[in-house]
Amino acid sequence: MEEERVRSGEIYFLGAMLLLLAAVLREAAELRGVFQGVPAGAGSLAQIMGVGAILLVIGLAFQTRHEGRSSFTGMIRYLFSGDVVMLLLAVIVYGLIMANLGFAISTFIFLLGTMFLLDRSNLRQKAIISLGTVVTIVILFTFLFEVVLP
Amino acid sequence: MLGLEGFLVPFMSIELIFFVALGVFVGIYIGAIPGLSVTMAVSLLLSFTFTWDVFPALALMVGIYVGGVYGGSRSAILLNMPGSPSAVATGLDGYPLARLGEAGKAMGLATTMSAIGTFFGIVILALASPLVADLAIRFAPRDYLLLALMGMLLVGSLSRGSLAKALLVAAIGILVGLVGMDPFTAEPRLTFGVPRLLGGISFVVAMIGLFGLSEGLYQLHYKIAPVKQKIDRIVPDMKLVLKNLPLALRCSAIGTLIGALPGTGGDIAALMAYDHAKRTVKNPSRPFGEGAWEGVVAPEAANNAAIGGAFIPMMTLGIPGDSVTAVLIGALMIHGLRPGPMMMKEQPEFFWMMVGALVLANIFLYIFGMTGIRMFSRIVEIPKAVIIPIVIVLSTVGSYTINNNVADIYWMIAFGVLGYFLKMYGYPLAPMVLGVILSPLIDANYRRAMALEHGDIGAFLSSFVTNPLTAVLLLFTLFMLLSQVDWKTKIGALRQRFSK
Repeated sequence: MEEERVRSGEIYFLGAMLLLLAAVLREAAELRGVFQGVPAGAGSLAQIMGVGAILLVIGLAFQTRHEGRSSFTGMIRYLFSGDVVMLLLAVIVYGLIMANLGFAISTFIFLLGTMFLLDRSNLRQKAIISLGTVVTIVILFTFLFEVVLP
Repeated sequence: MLGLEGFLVPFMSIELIFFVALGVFVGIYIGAIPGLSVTMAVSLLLSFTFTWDVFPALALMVGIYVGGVYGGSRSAILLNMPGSPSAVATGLDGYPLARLGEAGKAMGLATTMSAIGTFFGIVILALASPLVADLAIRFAPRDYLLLALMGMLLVGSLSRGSLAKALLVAAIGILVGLVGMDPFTAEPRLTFGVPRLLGGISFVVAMIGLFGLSEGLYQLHYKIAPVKQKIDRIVPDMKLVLKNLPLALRCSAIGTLIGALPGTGGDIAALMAYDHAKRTVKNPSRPFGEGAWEGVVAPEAANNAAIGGAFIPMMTLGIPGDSVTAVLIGALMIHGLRPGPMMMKEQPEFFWMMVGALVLANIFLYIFGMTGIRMFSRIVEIPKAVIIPIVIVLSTVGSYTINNNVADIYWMIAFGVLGYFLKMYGYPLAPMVLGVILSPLIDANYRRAMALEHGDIGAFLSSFVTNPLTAVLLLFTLFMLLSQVDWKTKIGALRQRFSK
């Protein structure tokens, strides 16, 4: 089971969360809320939740610290396999090229590219599936439901 | 009963039967596709049905509503990607069932329980509308706050392992839900000076990223193989249905009541019902979260029962119970009808026509719900190299269609990556969705309740015990809180300590 594996680098993850939540709390503190003595202010809930979340991160970090130290490279190895890195890069590139190439072409390239990189066999079958998926989505969304595609 | 003959109207017209059936069929598939919401479908229908007669237009919309709420369960069970927010809870046990090769049976059970839930909601709508509407209208902001806090107590139910991790994720969810323009003062909140964030972050986008993309990354990382499905039986075993019938009825009651409260809907109803099942079912078929049938029964009965509930304030008071009934009120007004107490008095046959259309839709829900399951089940058997890219494309389209905004695609990717990290470190994802969903309800009602007491914290706290309805809700909330503690173990440990 995944839960039984050693979760390498959780402390770094919690560190990143702490930085993110501190930034959120700083932003919340600028609003009128509990900190300013206005319990019904726009920032009240954000301030309460921000403090609560930071305390939880600190508590979890202490708990994790007892589980032993882990290296940064260990964390990278634990989180990212070759396939995951490839898919993440493909998704980011897909999101970026969509604005220039349009939905249909960028989706076809993304589908065919990722399907082939994940399993390098039967390119023709993958091309047909990719094309079929794009055509189905375009027909379903654009013509049937009149939904604008990216 | 006055106007009861209106009940038979949908059953006597071939045209209305056709439109209800068409609506249910289309609704199931719209509900199953993430990003295509029932509200959006009903809103789109408004544009080309406003020239129609009122009955066919409403028959089609009611059909889509009933089918759409159920349809979300299909993608939740098969891909762990809920087609609609009301199916989030279904995926918690539905997806593990698909991983065990029981997707077909899970979808069959979900269909049956959805039909039971819808029927229960309709019965309450028909028999107890004025009573439930009267109760719902008495809810003050502090009561809604308690209801939202009750919802937050579900965090314990939605997680396995560390409660602190679940609470952290829920708190982050609440903070995400607060991003955007403050609805009371219109000032930017947690936007970091970025104008694009003024519109807030859609919880549907967060949900699609957290459950869709992160699942794809997780499955690739662990190279989870496709599972061969056992689809010899789709109609669930009568024994299984009868065993779970009391739970389905209890959850339907929860769903109807939650649905009747304005501003809450099938999503909260399903989560509350799941929590109820987890607390009350002593010997589930499997542990919750690992493919318990009860984990599919409870949310599916509740989210469909919420439909009948949502119609109660709409028909009796003219107040929408959820976003779909808000659009339906608009549709009625386009046709010159104004739902509310006067309509109930002057045109009761119209109320009964709606009840009849709902009953008809429920019949078609069961018929169409049982079709296509074998074909759908095969989705789980598709190789990961093919299905994961397709799921990502659907997630992308689904995120974009919410606001026609490319920035939502980037948010979906960000939530997907965050969800993947959270999963890898054993943080549950469902509490984050719960936080995002409940955040506006908690914020608005906390501030309204506080403002009603002029910011006086003492008066705010005492208002919880001086109002009978609030006091009952408070007791109920405390009961829910205390029931999360394992008293048996605690008392046993204390006894041991004292005996030493």
